[in-house]
Amino acid sequence: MKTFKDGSSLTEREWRAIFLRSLTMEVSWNYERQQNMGYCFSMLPAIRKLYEKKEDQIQAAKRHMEYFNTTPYVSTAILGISAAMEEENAKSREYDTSSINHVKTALMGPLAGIGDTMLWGTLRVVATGIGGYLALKGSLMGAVLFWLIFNIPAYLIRYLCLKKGYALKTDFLDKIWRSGMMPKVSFATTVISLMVMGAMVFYMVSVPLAVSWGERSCLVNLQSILDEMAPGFLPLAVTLGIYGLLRRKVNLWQILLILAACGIAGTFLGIFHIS
Amino acid sequence: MILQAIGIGIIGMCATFEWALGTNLASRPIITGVFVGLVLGDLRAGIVLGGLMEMVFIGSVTMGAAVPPDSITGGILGIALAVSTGNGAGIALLLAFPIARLYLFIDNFLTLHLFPVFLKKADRCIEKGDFRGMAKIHLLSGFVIKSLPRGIVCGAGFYLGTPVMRWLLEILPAFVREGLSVTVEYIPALGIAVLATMTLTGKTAAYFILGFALAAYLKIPVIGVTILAVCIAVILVQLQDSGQTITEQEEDEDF
Repeated sequence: MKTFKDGSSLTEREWRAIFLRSLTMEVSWNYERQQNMGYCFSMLPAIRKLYEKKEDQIQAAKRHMEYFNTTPYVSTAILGISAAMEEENAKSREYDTSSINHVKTALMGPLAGIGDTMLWGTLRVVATGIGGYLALKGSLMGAVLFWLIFNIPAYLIRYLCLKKGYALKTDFLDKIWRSGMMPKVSFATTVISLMVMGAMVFYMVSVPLAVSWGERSCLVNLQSILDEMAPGFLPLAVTLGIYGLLRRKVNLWQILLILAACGIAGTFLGIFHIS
Repeated sequence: MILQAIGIGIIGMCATFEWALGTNLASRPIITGVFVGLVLGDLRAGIVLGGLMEMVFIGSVTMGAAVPPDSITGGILGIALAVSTGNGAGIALLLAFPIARLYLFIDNFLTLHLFPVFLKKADRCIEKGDFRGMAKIHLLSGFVIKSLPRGIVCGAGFYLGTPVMRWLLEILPAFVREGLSVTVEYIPALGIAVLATMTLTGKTAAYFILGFALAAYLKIPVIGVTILAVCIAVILVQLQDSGQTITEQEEDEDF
């Protein structure tokens, strides 16, 4: 039934092609099947190599046009697993092809959970904390560092996940799970992102007070008192205040209006002043 | 003006195409701000406003199933309008959010009603074994549905929006303009608060405060706090591993 090419296992050439193609994972995101076209597109080099008959190639490609969605940077882990399973299917005649998609569906949710918190939840926050601070100061290094801090690990993870996925096959998530790594990673990422966010409050938020009392000789400036006694107190209070509003399910849009209204009213009353 | 508008449109179009290059966040305001600044001839303003918009839209990422407001068009247009009018940062900031929301409707409409056409075509290509054709549709659909409309909205929005912005700046009294500039100073708090809702709870508040205190009292820069944070996270995980530690006892007491 199935015929094989010489040495039908995947080579470095296919891995490189799959990796490069996986970069387009999100470009055709849609509501019906989400990243399905990106997934199929990424699988094609493997499919072409593994199956010689056109019908077999078409059957395999169809499989990977099904619904798929996960964090794009770690999607390669599942691509590696799928490639390994397709390879087995190409070699053995009694392979249950439906298991290929079952494994995909089973893995994409948990993997997205890890990927989202690690990359979008933590790495991006760190990149924004460091890059954003410099950008607000007017330095071009802000954008450069933001991009590098996020992307060097992101592209690396994408590449390593492909290799790991292929090597560990369906054990991939099982191994991660059994090692007890997940709760640790999620705890560690929470600690890191929260500490960076705390620092961001001090460096990026400012409340320019203008209130002062007394004669010029013994002028009491509220801002300088606050800076000495409790630096960053007002930025922290404002941030936690907004956090409280968000927790009470106040609309983001309403909060933005409240903030603008406070700014305008405060300026009118002479509480705030931009130097 | 028309050339600048085309430039802004091209930025919108190209930035969106990061989705074909590994979702590398090149469409985030902090990056697009640099290019908007270059096109409008004020690099520094573009960089600063990019950083500011990044903070406003920091919570706008696709996490899980929810689709967030479009930070690409909101960011680019907000930055461009602010840079082109000089002192309009406050108003542009307030406009960026409704723009991002509005574009979400356009995006939803296109993805819901136009995308299925491409998807069906791709299915047919696969059926016929035309893999090259499917690949073309895959890339083309992203360009037609996602990149091109964003480019058009950014270009047109800049062209039509600049006079509106100038007019707003003229009619608004000075204290309103100044008040909005003050708002710009503390608006990053909004982005941080949005992020905080994802992880900040009574139990984890200590880490947030610790990060703040390291910055505010010890004046450690963000990079330094990040390094300390990674070390603290690793130490805490190791402590948890060793099994008979203070942290674990504390956690036990909590339950």
